[in-house]
Order: sequence, then structure tokens, then C-alpha cells
Amino acid sequence: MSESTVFVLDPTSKPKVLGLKLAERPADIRGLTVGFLDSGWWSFGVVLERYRELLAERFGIRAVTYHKKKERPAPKELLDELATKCQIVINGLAN
Amino acid sequence: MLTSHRVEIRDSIASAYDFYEQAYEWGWTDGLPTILPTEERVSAFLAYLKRDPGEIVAEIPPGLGVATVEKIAINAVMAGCRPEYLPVLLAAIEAIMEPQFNLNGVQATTNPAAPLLIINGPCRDQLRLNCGSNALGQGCRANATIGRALRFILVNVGGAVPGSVDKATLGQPGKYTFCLGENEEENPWEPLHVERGFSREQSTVTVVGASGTNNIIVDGQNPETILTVIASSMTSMGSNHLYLEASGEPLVILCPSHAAILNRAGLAKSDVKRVLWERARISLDLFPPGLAKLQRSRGRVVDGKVVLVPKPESLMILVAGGPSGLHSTHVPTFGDTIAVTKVVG
Repeated sequence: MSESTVFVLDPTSKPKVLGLKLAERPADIRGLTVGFLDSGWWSFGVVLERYRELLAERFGIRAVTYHKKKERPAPKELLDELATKCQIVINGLAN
Repeated sequence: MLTSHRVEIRDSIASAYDFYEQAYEWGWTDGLPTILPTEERVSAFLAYLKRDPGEIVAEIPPGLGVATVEKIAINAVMAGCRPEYLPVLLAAIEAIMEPQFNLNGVQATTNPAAPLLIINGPCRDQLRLNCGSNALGQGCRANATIGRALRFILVNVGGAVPGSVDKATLGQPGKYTFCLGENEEENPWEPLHVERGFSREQSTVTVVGASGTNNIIVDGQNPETILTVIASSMTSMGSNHLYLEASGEPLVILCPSHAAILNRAGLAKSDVKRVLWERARISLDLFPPGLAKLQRSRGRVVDGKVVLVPKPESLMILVAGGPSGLHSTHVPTFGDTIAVTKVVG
């Protein structure tokens, strides 16, 4: 007996905008300015301090900027400012 | 014209099981078996709706997948909905997309938050929604599948895959489905949607970013006792309402018996909110030092006690459940979310 087939439809969906690329990663981070975008969670504070130590110890980076998110998502002006001032940003998303 | 990717499968009774295996492997399901979203079934749903299948209803965060009418219908078929449930599902999607609901947060948080759908108005009868006994439990197709269809859309379109994007530490059973109707007939006060500015004749969906349910038994006829016990059950140091800067809107679902007792005592719904707000407090002395400092810094301490939410109006009251028993329920929320109500079109 031959077996018939049916078609089912894919329930998943993709975003409209595809192909967003990550920014180019710097080959060497020495001398760059690092931004921290604090999610406000206690756990991010711990991570932030450790990153700050490691960046200073291993790469001599002392130029950091710090912002705490007062609203979510972070306003475009703040993101633009970070993009202008910093070459690397460490973004706290949650806890 | 349908545009979704078509997948060919064997057509036999046995293929339902095979489809379950395949759909599970593709990550299309909640872990339970689903209905096959065949072209014929999806087309029948779309015919009921009489809307352009390609119409974009929403871009669901955090993945921003495009929820067309067609994709919504496919997921509704898979969840076991009837076509007439679609307008409720569409209103629910419209509601969760309002910025104050914070769907991005609800979808990705470590909290067990899930959208709780509260249905009001005439569509409750038309769709045979359960508003009475076991309204938040199993057994009613409309409650079960409308909530489930929304979950499918949140994952299949919104991209909230557990563990990768949905970061819930434990989650909760309401992430399978979380939907009930208000028992307006046993509500001595105005129904939720009327309180929120709609007419009794309108059907609405109210979405709440709910973290679960917490049963409250108060076996007695004394309104003072009922209010004290409910307030006590709402108040916990581990509540997101207390921990987050955004305190949110805790929901209390009063069973018909408790609501009747409070109403007979002459209390309006606003009185119930006020008394609960006054009593849902924890003495600051009981907090560990770090958390006490946090509460002081947020100005949440009144007369030496930490208040659950800043004002009585932030509490939500619903009446639902059956005639037997004296069990009300506290529904704590994610906190960083505000309930939204939309009309079922």
C-alpha cells in the first residue's frame, strides 16, 4: 500500500532584520577605553570589579567609563555616548 | 496565500506520534504532543478570521520574530485551539506587546514569570471558558489551549527557548498554559475589565506577568480574619515585589465565598485593596541588614514596616473559582511589569 503524505507548516518565524553583524573585535585591547553598563544587579557589581582588576593587571587599562541603567532598554543617547567614548563595552544584562 | 515553510510528513493515524517526535526534535513544542498544523487546518483557521495571512500583528521580543496572522494560526492549531479562540489570542498578543508589560523582561528573566491571561465579558460563555471550579487547573479546552498557544508563539516566534534565551532558574507550571475567566457572575463588585475602563458588554483579555500561584485557605466567616490571612500570605521577603525597584502589581484572586463575605461586611473592592495594602507589610527589624538597607534606600519603609507596593491601587483583585471551599490565591508577579487589558475584536 502506498503511503500518502501531507504538508505541515513551520510555526517558527524569523526577525525582519537579518544579517546584523557584531562589531569588529580589536586585535589588541591595550590602551583602549572600556565602558561598563551596569544592570543594577548585585551580581554584576561583583563581575564588574573583577573585570576592572583584570583589565588593569593584564592590559594596563585604567580608562573606564561607568554607567548604571536607570531604564530598560538603555536609552539611545547613552548607547551613542558609549559608542563614541569607548572601544569596548561590557554590558550587564541581568543577574 | 500561505508563505510558511512546508514540511512533508506521512499521512496516517500513526503519523501523529511521528510528528510529535519530529516537532519535539525541532523545538516546536512545549514538550507535550501537538496537533499537526496541516495546510488544511491552518487555512480553516484563517478562513474563520478573514484577515490577510501575511498581516504582521507583532514582532515578538526578545527574538523579534514576525508574528503574522498565519504564524499565529499555525501555533494555535498546534496548541489545540478552536478557530473561534483566535480573537482572544490576538488580543492577548496585542496586550503583551504594550511597553509597560515589559515582554522582553518577562521572556528572558530568571524569575518564573509567564503571561497570565484573564478573560472578561461575553466571550467567556461563547468560548466556554472555565471561570469556576478548577479555573486555573486542567480540564477546560479553551483555558488550556489559548494559554498554550500564546506560549508556543512566545517560543516559536519570540525565540524564548528555555535555557538559552528564557533564563528562568526553575520556571513554573504556568509556563505551559495560564489562562482563566473571571467569575463575574459571583463577583459582588464590578468585574476587572469594568474597573479598568471597559463596559460589561465588551470582551477583554488582561495580561499579568505572573510568577505563580500561592493558595490561601481562610476557613471562617470573619472578614477581618480573611483580610489578615490574605495580607500575610502576600508578604514575603523573597517576593520580587519587594526585591525589585519596580514594585509591580500583585494580584489576589478571591474565591466567590471570600468575596461574598467581604462584600456582606460592607467592603467595596477599593476597601479590600486598602486594607490588604495596610496589612501586607513586614517589620523592617525582621530583614537581614543588607535587605533592610535596600528597602530604606528605596523609601519603602512606613512606620518601621516595609510596604509591599507603594499604593493600594497597585493591588489587583479578581474573583474566580467554584462555590466549594474557602481558598483564594495570591499571584505574585515579576514585579517589573504592569498589567494590560485589550478588547477582543
